[in-house]
Amino acid sequence: MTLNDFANLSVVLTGYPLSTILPQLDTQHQAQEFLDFLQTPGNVPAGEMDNLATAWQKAAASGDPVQGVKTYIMADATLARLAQNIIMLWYLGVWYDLGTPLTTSSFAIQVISGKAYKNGLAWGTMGAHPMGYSEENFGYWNTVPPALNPQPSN
Amino acid sequence: MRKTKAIFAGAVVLAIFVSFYACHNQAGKTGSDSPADSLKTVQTALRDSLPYNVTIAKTDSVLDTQIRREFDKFSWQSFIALNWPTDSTQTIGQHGDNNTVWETWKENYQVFLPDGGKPESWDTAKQGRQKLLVQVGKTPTVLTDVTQPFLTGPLIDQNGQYTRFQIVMNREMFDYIDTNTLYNYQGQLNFKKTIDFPGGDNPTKTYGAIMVKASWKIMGKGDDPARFHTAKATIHVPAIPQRHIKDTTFQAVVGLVGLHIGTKSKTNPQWIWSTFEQVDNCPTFGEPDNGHYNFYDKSATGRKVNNKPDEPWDPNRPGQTPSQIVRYTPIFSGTKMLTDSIHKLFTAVNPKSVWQYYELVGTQWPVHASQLPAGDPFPVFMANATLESYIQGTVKDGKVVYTQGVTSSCIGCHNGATTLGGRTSDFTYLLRTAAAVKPTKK
Repeated sequence: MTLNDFANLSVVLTGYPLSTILPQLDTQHQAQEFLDFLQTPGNVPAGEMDNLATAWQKAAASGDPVQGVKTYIMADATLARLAQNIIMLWYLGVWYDLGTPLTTSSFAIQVISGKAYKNGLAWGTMGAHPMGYSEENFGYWNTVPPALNPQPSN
Repeated sequence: MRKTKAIFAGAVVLAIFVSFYACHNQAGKTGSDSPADSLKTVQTALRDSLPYNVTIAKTDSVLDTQIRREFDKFSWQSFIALNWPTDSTQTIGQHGDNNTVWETWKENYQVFLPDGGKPESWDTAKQGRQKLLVQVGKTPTVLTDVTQPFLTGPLIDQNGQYTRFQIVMNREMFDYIDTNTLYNYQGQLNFKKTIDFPGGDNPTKTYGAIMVKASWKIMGKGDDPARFHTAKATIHVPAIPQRHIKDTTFQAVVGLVGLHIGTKSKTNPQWIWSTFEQVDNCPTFGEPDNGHYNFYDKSATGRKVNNKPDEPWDPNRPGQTPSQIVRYTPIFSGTKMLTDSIHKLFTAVNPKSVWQYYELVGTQWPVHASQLPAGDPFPVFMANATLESYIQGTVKDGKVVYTQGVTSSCIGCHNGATTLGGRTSDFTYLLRTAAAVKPTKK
């Protein structure tokens, strides 16, 4: 899967714009880190990333990527689960064990890096900063919080 | 200094080809970063005028290479102008070494006086090369703080001597502090506005606040003075009874080993951070470690790398174990090529110019400056081996690991700077060194 394909798929999955997922001036290279993780042998069963890439290309070519993702990815149990994991990867920086049903409470999870945790979309979505990390100025807790980051649009 | 006269090396304009900035072209980028495109002619000359701000061409759109190159050029232009001879009719390095402009600027201890009093005017107490060095850490209070910020600690050279540090500021920064009475505790408490140092601006040709942090080693065995900018210094270690450190003063010749330049500009309100080092400081992680280094000994295999010295710390104690420093992040290839081209300018002036032995480690700036407060700094991490020796990252499984909020980042750290009243202080910790004015006895 190419970085561009992964980024555009992630736009649909997360609801965040491409300017957040893959900024023009990208200091963090977060999308690349996630893609590298997904393509590291052992993290995703063999062939699933290829299947996801093929399904995304069909979805993108359909003219309605959101509906296309529903049709070609979310309707497939295996790909849907992988897509859900990618959503959680973006929002939390956490990788959940693909072999455990999402309804199970005892997940084997992995925070894939400190950077991924810090850059989790969940923080901006809720207007917070990551627990244990803030770039706000000293005393920010005494003032009105800044405007939220770009929000999911779909 | 402010005149824009350009002095060209040997009356020849040298066209410098800055090329082959490593291509990191990424999907989704609109800018071209082909080798042909980056084979861009950059006409650079040695000149004594400080740049006001960075200029980014509209065609420069690739962060890692094109835009970084402009900031690196800004850094070198600043370095050259700041190290220009005080006699501006001369050229930098014309006589090998020279007095420098920045060494005539105000020292932090000349601005923040022990009694909280008003500092003397800008034009007094210029010290030049007869300098007084009182700091043994990048932070002025490294020996007296009960707790250390991050992993700050003394840096000890191969001769067992503590590295010394100094901090100076330009007139724009000094005037802002002086005018607003920010040089003492009471003044900072009474200042109700947001602290906002002036920012450099190209259209109006105005300079912004600039602060310079320098690290110096005491010249000794194994050091070649021809490879250093040197100065005669009076070195003073104030008594610190709780550490059993005695008041000591002695004279020494010191060599410049590190230089930070922080420049505030209108479009970079999080400041532009340029950092330079003497080329013999230390080897780079994963690269050959041959040669003599100021802060590394190949044969000392038992020493922990990038580890602050064991306590007790005492600059007066002889025979202390030297620091074993390694640069964890290699200097970017494009930055190195720019440095090589600048070195050619120096040696064209004088093959014995000491300035050819200084290299740009990197430039950090806020890529999205409007994203307050930190502005998305790039590169995310940057460290000077003599000023952030112990917070360059850690090595795990043979690889360097960086941690946001822990590993050295100029903007990331200075973003947390406050006044003594706990209000944000516009990316400088200097205001926290101010003293309170004691009430007058009746």
